[in-house]
Amino acid sequence: MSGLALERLRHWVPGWLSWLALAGGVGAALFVLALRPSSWRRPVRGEFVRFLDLTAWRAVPAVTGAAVLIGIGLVAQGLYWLERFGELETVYTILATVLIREIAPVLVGLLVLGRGGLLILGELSTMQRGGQCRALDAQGVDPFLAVALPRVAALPVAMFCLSMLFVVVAQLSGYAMAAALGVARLPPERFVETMIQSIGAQGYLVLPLKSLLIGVAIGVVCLLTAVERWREVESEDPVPAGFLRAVLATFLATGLVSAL
Amino acid sequence: MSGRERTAVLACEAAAIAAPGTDRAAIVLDLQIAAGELVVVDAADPEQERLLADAVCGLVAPRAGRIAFLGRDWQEQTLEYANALRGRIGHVFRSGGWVPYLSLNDNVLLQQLHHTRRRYADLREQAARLAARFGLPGLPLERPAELPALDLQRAACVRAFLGTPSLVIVESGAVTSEDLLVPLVDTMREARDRDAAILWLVDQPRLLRDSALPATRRLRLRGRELVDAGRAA
Repeated sequence: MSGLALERLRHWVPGWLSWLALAGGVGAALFVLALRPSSWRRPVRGEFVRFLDLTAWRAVPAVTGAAVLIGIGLVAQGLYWLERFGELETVYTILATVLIREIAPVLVGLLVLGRGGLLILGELSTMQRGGQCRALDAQGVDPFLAVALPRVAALPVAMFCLSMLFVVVAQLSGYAMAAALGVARLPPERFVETMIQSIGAQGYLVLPLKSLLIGVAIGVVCLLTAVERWREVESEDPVPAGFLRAVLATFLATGLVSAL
Repeated sequence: MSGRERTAVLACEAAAIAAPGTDRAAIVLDLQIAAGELVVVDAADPEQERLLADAVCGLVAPRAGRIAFLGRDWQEQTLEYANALRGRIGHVFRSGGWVPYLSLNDNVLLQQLHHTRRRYADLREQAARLAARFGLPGLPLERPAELPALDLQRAACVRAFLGTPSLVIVESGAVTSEDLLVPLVDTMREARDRDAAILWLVDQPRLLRDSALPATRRLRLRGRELVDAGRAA
């Protein structure tokens, strides 16, 4: 294809589409790198563990708190819909499905974005401006391998673990609230059984899939936004743009899986 | 200098280096540094100095000519192999180059942990010995932002000489304390005895003229080219 034809094609391809293609390419490159054992050298493993601790373990209180509040909110919703429909099993199944498939991945995604995604954005931009990326390169330590890979790899793992925690805590807190109000009609063992059954075969697939996809999307979008700014040393703060993009990517990922 | 055969650690052959985003060559390098040599270069312009240091590490591709490290042209290496070669270059950066979220201990050991399979304890032991020589009681576990500038300079010297680097680049302004000069020169001497080459970039004419520095060559970066600054020691 001639240069002129390429130029015309670029004119017709929207900027956001080429950006999405670039993000896909970066994600694929990271995936290939992650599969190679030689990528996981000692500092890379160390950074993976450190970042996982930062984004997953230290986010446990925030996720638990959010899950408790959502669980209590679900009880209120349950009581409202129970009054209208009267069928406990149906109402519970609807609420649990919405919680597991829609609320949990998005809410945990936003918490992980705040805890880890913005850290990738901020620190990588600062490192570029401060010359640390150049220093790493000069030592033969590729920042893409040593900084980007472990962080982006840690995010989906954190997303998955926190989503599971969120789902369990939200349902248990909802049950505890209902029991405290005296409206829990199921004994605890029957509740746990219903909870497990309510997820369903699709639910068991959707929640991990959404969690992993959102984690990767947040990581890649934040990384790419920071990398874009590497070339523009005096550019504006990349955090607002990165945050907006990562939120959109979270909704896009969850919508895509739901649609499928 | 001993009578044994000295191989070129670094060979720049009419390498025209342009600053990123420009076409015109900012410097033209014709420089060979053999194993065991200490070459002191006075680069008056910090931008040119940075460009020179980057080109020597293969981070900037020459527009013409070639730059080879340990006999291998940077431009002919894959990214992985080039990074492995850079793992054999010790570097004292003007800007420090400290990763802000790692402790100074982890920063110092980072390059060796990444490129070698040496045991962590062995690396710590060598780093502690070097740290003591440069006046640090040990490798600090604080982050770089929490430490005084002088300790960072000391740690930068430790990082550069850790392992067995084939080339050590000392950027100007990276070592400003007079107290560090003696241990630095002593450590350079030991490294040279192991056949490491040293490229010391200075911005003080006093250092270039200092006859106490056992330099094999003293050069000035004037205009676009390196010129001889005086007799060799």
